[in-house]
Amino acid sequence: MSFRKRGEVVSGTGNPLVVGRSPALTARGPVVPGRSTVPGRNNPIRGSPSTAAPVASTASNNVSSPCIRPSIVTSQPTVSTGSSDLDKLLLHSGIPLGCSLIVEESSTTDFASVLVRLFVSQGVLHNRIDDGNVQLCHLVVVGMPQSWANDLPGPYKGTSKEQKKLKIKENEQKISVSNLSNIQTERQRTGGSDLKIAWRYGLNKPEKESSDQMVETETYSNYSTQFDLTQKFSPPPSIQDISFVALSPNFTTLVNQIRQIISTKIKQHPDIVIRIVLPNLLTPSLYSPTQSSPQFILPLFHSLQSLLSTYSNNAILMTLINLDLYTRNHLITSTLENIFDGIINLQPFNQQMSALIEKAYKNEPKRIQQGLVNVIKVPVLSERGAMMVRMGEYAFKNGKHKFEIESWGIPVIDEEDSASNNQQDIPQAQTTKNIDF
Amino acid sequence: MSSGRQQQQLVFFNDHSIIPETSDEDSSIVGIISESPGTSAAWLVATLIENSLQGSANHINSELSKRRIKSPTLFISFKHVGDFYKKLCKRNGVDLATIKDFQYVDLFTDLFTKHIPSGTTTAATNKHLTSMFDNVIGGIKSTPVIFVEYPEILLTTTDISPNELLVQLDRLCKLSSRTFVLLSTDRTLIDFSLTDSSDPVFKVSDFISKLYHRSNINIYCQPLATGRANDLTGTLCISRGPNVIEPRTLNVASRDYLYHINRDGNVKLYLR
Repeated sequence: MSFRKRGEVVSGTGNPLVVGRSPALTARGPVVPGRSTVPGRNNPIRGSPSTAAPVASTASNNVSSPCIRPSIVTSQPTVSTGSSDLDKLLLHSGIPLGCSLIVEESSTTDFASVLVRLFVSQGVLHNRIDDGNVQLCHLVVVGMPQSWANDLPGPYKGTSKEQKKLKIKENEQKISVSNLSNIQTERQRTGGSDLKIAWRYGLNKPEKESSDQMVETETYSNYSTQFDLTQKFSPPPSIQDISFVALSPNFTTLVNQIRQIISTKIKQHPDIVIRIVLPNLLTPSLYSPTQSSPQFILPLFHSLQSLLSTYSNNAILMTLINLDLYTRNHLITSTLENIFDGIINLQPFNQQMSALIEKAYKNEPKRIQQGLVNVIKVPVLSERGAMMVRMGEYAFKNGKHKFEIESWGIPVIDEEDSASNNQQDIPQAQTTKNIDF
Repeated sequence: MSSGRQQQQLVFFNDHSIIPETSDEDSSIVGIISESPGTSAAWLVATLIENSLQGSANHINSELSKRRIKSPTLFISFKHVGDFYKKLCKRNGVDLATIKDFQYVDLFTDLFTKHIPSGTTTAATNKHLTSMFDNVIGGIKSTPVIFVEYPEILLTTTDISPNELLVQLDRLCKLSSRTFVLLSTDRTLIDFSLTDSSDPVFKVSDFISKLYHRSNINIYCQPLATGRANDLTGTLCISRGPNVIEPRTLNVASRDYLYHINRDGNVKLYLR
């Protein structure tokens, strides 16, 4: 009698090269778990790379990069923005390569800069996959000093409890006399009986995810990362990760500089992703009056857009603009909206609305949202003519560990609470007249 | 909302055509297609290209009687590279790469780095503009259907005056039987109260108003005034321009349509 399921592969060898196994090998019968293989008897067919090689060659080089995945809608190669919720909002699960995104913010707040920092952090992190041996991503930051990169958020490592647990586990895995003696005493204490029962009922098995989700998380495990806004990126980005381009009085010089960086990087690594970022666009402290004129800014973005179309397999662009100085009816904003492929508008709540939401969620402070997210243009789809405008349908909340975007609904205040509050506040509010008709 | 309505076939003129056939007696027709950021008219432009090259409009008018004379087509764009319309037209069954009668002039790539370099005087910029259009006109062989996309970008980014740009567009119109100018500028930007002729908003307003005075047909894609709907994308307004079409028997079929584009790019039209 055996408890083993029919289709279950017998573990024990742990050899990942099962794909290349010949039918003759499978006919030999299962390998007994725990028994080691005889040295020198390994069949050379097992390790033959000939079967694995065609799988790698069928995928295009660009999509095989861990920081790129095909768009859900159009199958174009797409890059994460660094915020999984924004990726979902853009429908492609990111920004398709060769496209541009502008984030508008209509208040004195600075939530949009969080999105830009996440975008940059994601690029830096992608560049450090494989310990930076292969350069997968490079950033071009325009108009900011190098010190700007020191405040980038680092990857989220879990809560303090989870981090402590991880540290304990790491320490336990280290080979030391105390650890080994601890393991022995524990085995003696339990006698292994619990484990047997757990094995019978499958209690030790990890929870099975749905097959699609598993494949997705395994294939694109490095695609998008959660960042901790309270942590700084360490070690801070270097010249290997980011090129800083200063604003020059002539936009042609600026465009040529960016073009040169892109072409040099592509020559070195043809599959590299270049993320061009212009944080704090048209901020008076960074942009002089001549640089804020339409004759400078509009040809600059027109030329950058043409640069994106030239390097449509490698480059993407993201910028943010504050609408307090340049409203949506302003010539510059309106023309930029024409030029850009994607437009996201952040509309923080005014004081009254914020007070209402705080009142509604006074027992659940984690649910308090800070403003609305309006979608005006979605890359590729809007250009084709599809109606992608979503005004007032989503709200954002900027927490310590995540910039979350969720569907928006006007919060409901408990009637009992509000009634009791009203009674306390305005006792004369109740009418004495008969209101029955 | 759209489920109860009958699907319509799109026509622009009273002879049930989208782009009417040309004859020697005809005056040239100037059409303006304008769009809003939320409702791009690229699908309509792709259909017009199909109609001009093949005489058909499979996606929006299956009953259209095909044109006898197929016109060569010239597309001048300040907004897109050629691949954009190639992909869109492929959906309509038109392979622009293989059609010899189709010519795409890409003035989007390197517009401000090669065609009209920055940092030059107004006179030099005008010279660049004239030579740019000279090159385009020099390549025209027969009377084509011409599309000019997003020319107003030149007004907001350079010292070119609206009159100079209109002169260049007029040169194109004279060589063509049917010209369509695609405007992307939002109507909210137009402000007639301004008096400073160097102000880009004034220039755009001036250019658009003068262009509308020369048009025979105006087509406008705009979002629904009532907000977004799942089963409707926007409205398509077709109206007569102030310029009269010769022969006088040909009239614009002024109508308002509601249209819906699904994610596959299929278009359905309903009368408003």
